[in-house]
Amino acid sequence: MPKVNLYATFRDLTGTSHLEVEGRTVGEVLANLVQAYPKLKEELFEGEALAERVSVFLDGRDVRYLEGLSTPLAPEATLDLFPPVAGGALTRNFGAFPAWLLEEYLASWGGKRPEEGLYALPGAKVRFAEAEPLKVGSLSVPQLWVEVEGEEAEAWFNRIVFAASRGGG
Amino acid sequence: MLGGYAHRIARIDLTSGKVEYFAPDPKDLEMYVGGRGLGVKYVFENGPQVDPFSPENLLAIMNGPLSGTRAKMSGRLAVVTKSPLTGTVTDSHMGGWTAAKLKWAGFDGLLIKGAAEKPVYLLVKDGEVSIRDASDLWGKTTHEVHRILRERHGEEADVMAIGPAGENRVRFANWINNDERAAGRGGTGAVAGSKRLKAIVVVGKQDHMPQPKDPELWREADRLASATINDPKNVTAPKKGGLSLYGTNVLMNITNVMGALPTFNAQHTCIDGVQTISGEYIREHRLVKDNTCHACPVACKKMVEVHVNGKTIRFESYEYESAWALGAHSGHTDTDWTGYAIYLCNAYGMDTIEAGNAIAVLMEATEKGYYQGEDGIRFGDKEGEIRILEAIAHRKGVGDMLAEGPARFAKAIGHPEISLEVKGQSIPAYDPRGLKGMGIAYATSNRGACHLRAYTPASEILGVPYKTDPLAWEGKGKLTKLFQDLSAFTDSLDLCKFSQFAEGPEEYAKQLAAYWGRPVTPEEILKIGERIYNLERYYNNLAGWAEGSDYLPKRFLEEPSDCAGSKGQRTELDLMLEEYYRERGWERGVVPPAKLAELGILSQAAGD
Repeated sequence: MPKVNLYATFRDLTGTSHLEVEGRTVGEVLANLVQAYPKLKEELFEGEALAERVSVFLDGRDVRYLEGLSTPLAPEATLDLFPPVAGGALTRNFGAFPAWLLEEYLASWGGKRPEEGLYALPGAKVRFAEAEPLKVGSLSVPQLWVEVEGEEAEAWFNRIVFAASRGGG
Repeated sequence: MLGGYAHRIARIDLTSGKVEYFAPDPKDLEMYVGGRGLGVKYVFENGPQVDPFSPENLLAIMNGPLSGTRAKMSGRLAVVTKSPLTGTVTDSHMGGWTAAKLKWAGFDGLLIKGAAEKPVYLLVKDGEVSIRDASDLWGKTTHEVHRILRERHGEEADVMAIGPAGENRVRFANWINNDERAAGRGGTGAVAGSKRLKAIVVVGKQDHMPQPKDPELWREADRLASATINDPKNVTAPKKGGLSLYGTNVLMNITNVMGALPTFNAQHTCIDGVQTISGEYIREHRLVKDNTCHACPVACKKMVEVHVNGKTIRFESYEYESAWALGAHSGHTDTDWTGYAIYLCNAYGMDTIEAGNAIAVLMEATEKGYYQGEDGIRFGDKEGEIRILEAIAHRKGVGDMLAEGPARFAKAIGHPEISLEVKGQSIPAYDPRGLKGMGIAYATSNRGACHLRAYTPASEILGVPYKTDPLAWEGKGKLTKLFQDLSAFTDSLDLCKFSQFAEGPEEYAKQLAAYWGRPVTPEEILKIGERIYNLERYYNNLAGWAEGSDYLPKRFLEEPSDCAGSKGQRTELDLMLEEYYRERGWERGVVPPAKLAELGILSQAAGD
């Protein structure tokens, strides 16, 4: 049965962070999820379509770049559901940027850590969680989900984006 | 005085035999760092109008401030010159230990001009450079030269050599060192051949390793860099991550599934049976040993053995680009013949990417009747491929035409459209119909089509630093500028490109600050990268690559991809160029004076 990981406010709405949900496509799994937790409906859907600001990742890949709600799911598939952001919050998945390194930066920028996965900076809060790694062929690239909210969200978000800059070759 | 440097560069005139030494200007070091950046600065000062094969062309062999230190992945050496293939400024980098030993021998670089009357090699040792007779080495393969010169100067000696292709001015001849690492692209080996310079021997010992100016900051910087590279979840993790286990060739199966592997000279975007030239297959069936370069825990180098006509051939390395060019692009996926072709290119000293493109262009020309000589070959003709590689290196038959580069060959037979080139340099192993970012990266690369100026597959395939849709053009101009600037900087340190899969501006800035002994901000290093990229572009503008020279082969713009993953796709170059030029502040590919002034290039160019 496909696994579903929930993040941030989705955890508050369901009271859990991990679930197993029946379904052969992304759409079927989300429909069954909404049936179990009706409060998720307006968060996940706009009419029949996936809400624009929700991020749904299948094994690390955004399902929008696959087949959307029709994307087929193997029984061992893992979906990551990131909530829609509101009130000036900004969010992104970063690759090859470990959580421990982000924490080092946040601490060096004067951040305080009230709880695991959360830092308070002047004018902003930063939430983060390790997402499912992006798996492509024989490569597995770690992914870190980060959300920044508050009056100074944009400035802090840009600072994190800059620090997380990577490339390759 | 900034730390990390030997503060000594040799100026070698092969015409007169004179060698002089000077300390690089501290202002140049702060603005251009070393490696690629400082090399480009010296090549720029030598003048963009120079004929690449004239004695006046400058051949710069450069290391960087982190070369020869304990900084992870700091084993890269930059070769910078005016390219005989493209007419642009070009830089090409080799791994191994040459860069480190050059530093330990007391040098930040060698600036070579003139042309010797007879073949020569350079001996670099104890802060001195001497010019030696190489008459007995002329005509020999790179492997033979490595063996002879290491017997002569000891196993501690590091040798970089050109092969017969460089001697014969094959426009894509390269340098190969004794770890079989190549400064592959742009024909820097042909420039050496035109100067009758066969090899450079570097003798240096680790006890001359530079120490950081700020040891406490270095401990912190090294801790962070090492921890990110060795993070067991990352692709760089030694003996765990995909890049460590399979090397560059881990990409082969992936790009094939995405419809992003140019095959049969990019008439198709995938190939059946690609598995047999993939990194996974090579590891299981042909691997001998995982070797590495100076200060690198990743060990992506793969020593392999292939078997052809009853002979076993051992070499390094079965890289992704090489396996693609001499295999899939040439219409076959034969494990052993592809390996043999790679080995031969290394022996003769030729860029495997350009050589594979030359083969593929000849194959398409033969099949379509554009070339009707008896020595034409068709796709999949593995033995014919070997014959043509030998013909190119020795400039025999059609090989003489192909030695001018596939772009010139295609033009000479009246069909320039079958050469997949930008500014005269052929494409590497990513099809921009399946990876749109590579389209803008190829078009705007200052050294011609190249995957190493801006590696957009990091984002489009691996989600680094964030995932983008490989089939979307939006945002790729901005991404390309970031990658180009970051790479221009790391090429100047000079660190391996793989370091970017783990490290970012914060980690690089800390390491440089610890060595330089003065604060360096992450913003400053990207500004340095931008300055280098703009100086290269300014050079190219002055050398004749002006408005309209950021183009792509028509095939990618007009002929749709035919493979799953990218079927029906073409490359939207104009839209990406518009976005890119806006990010750069350029006018249709030309650097305006205001940008040159902003980056401090114009005042230097004017001699202020």
